[in-house]
Amino acid sequence: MVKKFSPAVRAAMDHYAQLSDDLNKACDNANFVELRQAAKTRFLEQGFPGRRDEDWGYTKLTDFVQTHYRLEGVTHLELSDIQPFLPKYPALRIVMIDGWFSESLSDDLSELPAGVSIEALKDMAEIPSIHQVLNQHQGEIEKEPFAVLNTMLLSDGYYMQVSRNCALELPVFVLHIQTEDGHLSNLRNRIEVEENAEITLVESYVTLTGSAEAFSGFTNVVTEIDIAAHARVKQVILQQQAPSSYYFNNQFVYQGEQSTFNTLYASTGSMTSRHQNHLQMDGEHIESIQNSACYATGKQTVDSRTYTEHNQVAGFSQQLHKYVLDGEAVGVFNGMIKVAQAAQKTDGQMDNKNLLLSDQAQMDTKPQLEIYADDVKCSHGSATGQINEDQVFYLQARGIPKSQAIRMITEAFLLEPLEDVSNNEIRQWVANALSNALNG
Amino acid sequence: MSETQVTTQETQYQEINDLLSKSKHYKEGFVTTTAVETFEKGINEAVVRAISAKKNEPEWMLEFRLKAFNHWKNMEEPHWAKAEYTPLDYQDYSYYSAPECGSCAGSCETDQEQVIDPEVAKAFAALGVPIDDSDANVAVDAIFDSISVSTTKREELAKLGIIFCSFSEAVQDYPELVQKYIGTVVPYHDNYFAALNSAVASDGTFVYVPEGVRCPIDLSTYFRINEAKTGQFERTILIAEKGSYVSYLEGCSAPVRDTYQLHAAVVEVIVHEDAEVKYSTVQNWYPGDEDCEGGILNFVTKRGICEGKNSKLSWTQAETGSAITWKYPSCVLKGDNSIGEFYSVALTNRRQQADTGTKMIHLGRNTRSTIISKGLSAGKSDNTYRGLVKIAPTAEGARNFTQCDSMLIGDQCGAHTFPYIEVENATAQVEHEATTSRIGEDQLFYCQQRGISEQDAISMIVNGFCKEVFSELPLEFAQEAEELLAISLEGSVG
Repeated sequence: MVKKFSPAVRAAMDHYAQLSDDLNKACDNANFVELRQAAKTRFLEQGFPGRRDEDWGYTKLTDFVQTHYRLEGVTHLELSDIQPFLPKYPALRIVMIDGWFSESLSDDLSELPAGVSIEALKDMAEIPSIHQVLNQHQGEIEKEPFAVLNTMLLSDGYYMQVSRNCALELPVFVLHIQTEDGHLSNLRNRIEVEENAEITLVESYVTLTGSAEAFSGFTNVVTEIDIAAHARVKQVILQQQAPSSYYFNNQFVYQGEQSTFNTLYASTGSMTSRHQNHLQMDGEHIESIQNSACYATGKQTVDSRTYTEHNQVAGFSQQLHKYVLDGEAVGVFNGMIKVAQAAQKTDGQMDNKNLLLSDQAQMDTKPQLEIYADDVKCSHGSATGQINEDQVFYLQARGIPKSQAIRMITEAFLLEPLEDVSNNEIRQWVANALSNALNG
Repeated sequence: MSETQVTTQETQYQEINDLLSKSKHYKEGFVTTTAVETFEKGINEAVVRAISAKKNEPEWMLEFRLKAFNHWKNMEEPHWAKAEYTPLDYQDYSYYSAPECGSCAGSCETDQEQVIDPEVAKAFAALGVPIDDSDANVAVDAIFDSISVSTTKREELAKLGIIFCSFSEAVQDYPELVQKYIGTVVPYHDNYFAALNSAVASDGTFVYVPEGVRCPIDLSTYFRINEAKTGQFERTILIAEKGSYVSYLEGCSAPVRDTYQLHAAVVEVIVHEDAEVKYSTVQNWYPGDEDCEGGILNFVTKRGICEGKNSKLSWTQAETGSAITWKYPSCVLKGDNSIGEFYSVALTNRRQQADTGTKMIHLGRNTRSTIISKGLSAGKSDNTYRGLVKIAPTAEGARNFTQCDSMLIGDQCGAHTFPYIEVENATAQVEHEATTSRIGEDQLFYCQQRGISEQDAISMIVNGFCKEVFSELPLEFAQEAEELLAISLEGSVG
């Protein structure tokens, strides 16, 4: 059946298809052209999702399709420009400006520690196998409209490989910075962590002009993370883009046996932000932790979702998603734990807790379980409410002013998911960002 | 209508006995053979008009049907539920079937109570349904295919001002009440199956409890689908006026057939200020053979509205039958301080598929709702809880508690939980919990060690798992539900 689109959606679709054609005309490379064109065919069929699409009922794109974001050239930045966005702790630095890899601001790629290689995706376009590399998880990517859009506009990203038994001590810090109003940053990242390797990855999405109200950028990310057997990946993502921006991130994660994956998504920015983990636990004794801490106010919509598939025995997955909503903000959580028939002895736990600070705030949540194995321990819980008056009273009785008491309770509530971040400095860095947003 | 035909089906006996031997687990699977009047298969405007004419309905009812039918024609069959079925051929069902006597509600003034077809009476006796006033504690409306054959204890109830009759009679005798309430809770355009039901509604029960009356006995309806390839489309309306109370039960079964039968009912419940309605269902439609071929497709829309302050509506259901269940008894909590409850046990075995749950829509201040759902899946079945809790901005101080527990018996089945929670008021408190587990080997061992057979031990453990819900059912029903559970679980282990 041919899908029908409203004129606004149709116009936006045509606009992005045109961008894809422009990219191809300017063309660099046959591999990319082929990938983009296949995605374009798919995108024009599927289009942007509407409210009738089950997964998009709560996340409206009505305003998003009104603005047609462009692919502008890259701005030249000096190290001093990005200094405020860099963390105090030591880390390997990668800087992506408006979706393009910045060689001048990133650490020297030829001097990376042994066992680690990082490349800009656009520099890999010539490699004949790039086609296969980027098509590995095509099946799943095709189901996500924004991931299809990402492939259609394929341009740059970073490609990181960590070789066998290499435990990288320094965290890798990736700064994604937007500089141009009305610009689309299209990022396609790929991370391969080989057997028994270990990395910590920190990604920060910011806007150069900070919190300028009028600035509106669009960031569309697809990140694939392949974690081989016994490997360990820790990841922290902090999204603080300007308040009128849009952020979409689809992470496709594959875990081999006895590997661990620990991810935290912290969100305070953007008009509409949607972060999704698609996690496949494809081996025995895998551990995964997926947390999120989201704060939204004004007319923001913050959407965090996870899809976790347990495919083999004795997997362990744990999730804690916390939302604090103020103003007229809308919070959306959607989690699915799917346990295949072979995945006996699975232990899956998913919690979603939400605090509404204002009468106009709204929370829509869908914690789901789909279970086909009988010897499993799976549960989910969800609770939505307001601040407990007893707790406020308790603090007031100890001489703490009411407003401060509320702030303390709210902060403590929101920061709980950070407890699974083992690196002190990184945890503190995220906590500060969240606290500033709460108190700002 | 010229297409009506009279059939007697002796030839079917052999066929049915064969089927029965395949389906020993379903003891209500016998067929009643009696002279019946069945419309030819198919649905079109003429059929809708014919049904209406058959029931001698007033013009407004026909209009309601036609409006619904015209809307239905342009709708698409929904397939979003977690149940797989091939799209139905709606032209392959008959939309009206009735035993020859007593099929003409309203027009046929000869005392209906005396003309119950003896075969039909026998069928209900075999099912243990008292259609002859023999049970003092319950009033029964017995529905056989498309029509209501008997309604007991009516005079007694009438003395209290309670109206308890079939839906067709209500259309004749209390048109102003029916007209006032029909389609107010479930509009004809609500969903595909509700629209179909509104177009071809067969019979159903009508209950009206006047102000301040506490109904002294349980009211009950027993639905029986007998004819092959017929659809049953009952329409039930229950109205509880200010300060009244009623407990209503429904049960259902169908003979063993080898083709899917369709059951698309609509139930509307209106609860006024300070009133309370308790609505219990034990659903035991024929689930089909080992592969669930030929079972009932149970696509039901049940919804109640707590219209007035302090009103209360409680749904309790034990679902063991049907090849596919698609059912979400819902509460619209409009009155301030009103309460909605949903207690459910859903058991699936073999290849049954159940997608059931509830919707609690909080509109009024301080409204409260509780959802307790217990899903059991065995064999190769899929059991899904799907529920919505919506707190509207107006629902100041609303409160919801939801608990969904699933139990898996065997490693071929699936248990799923899909809750939707939408909170638009900061003062609301909403909690949801779900767990999935199985019968512990140590629990089984403990029982077996004490000389309890494996089968009995499972039955005991399962009953313990469901206790919270069964305790909400009226006594006899709780007993029946427990027995049903035991029968339905037979052969699921070992």
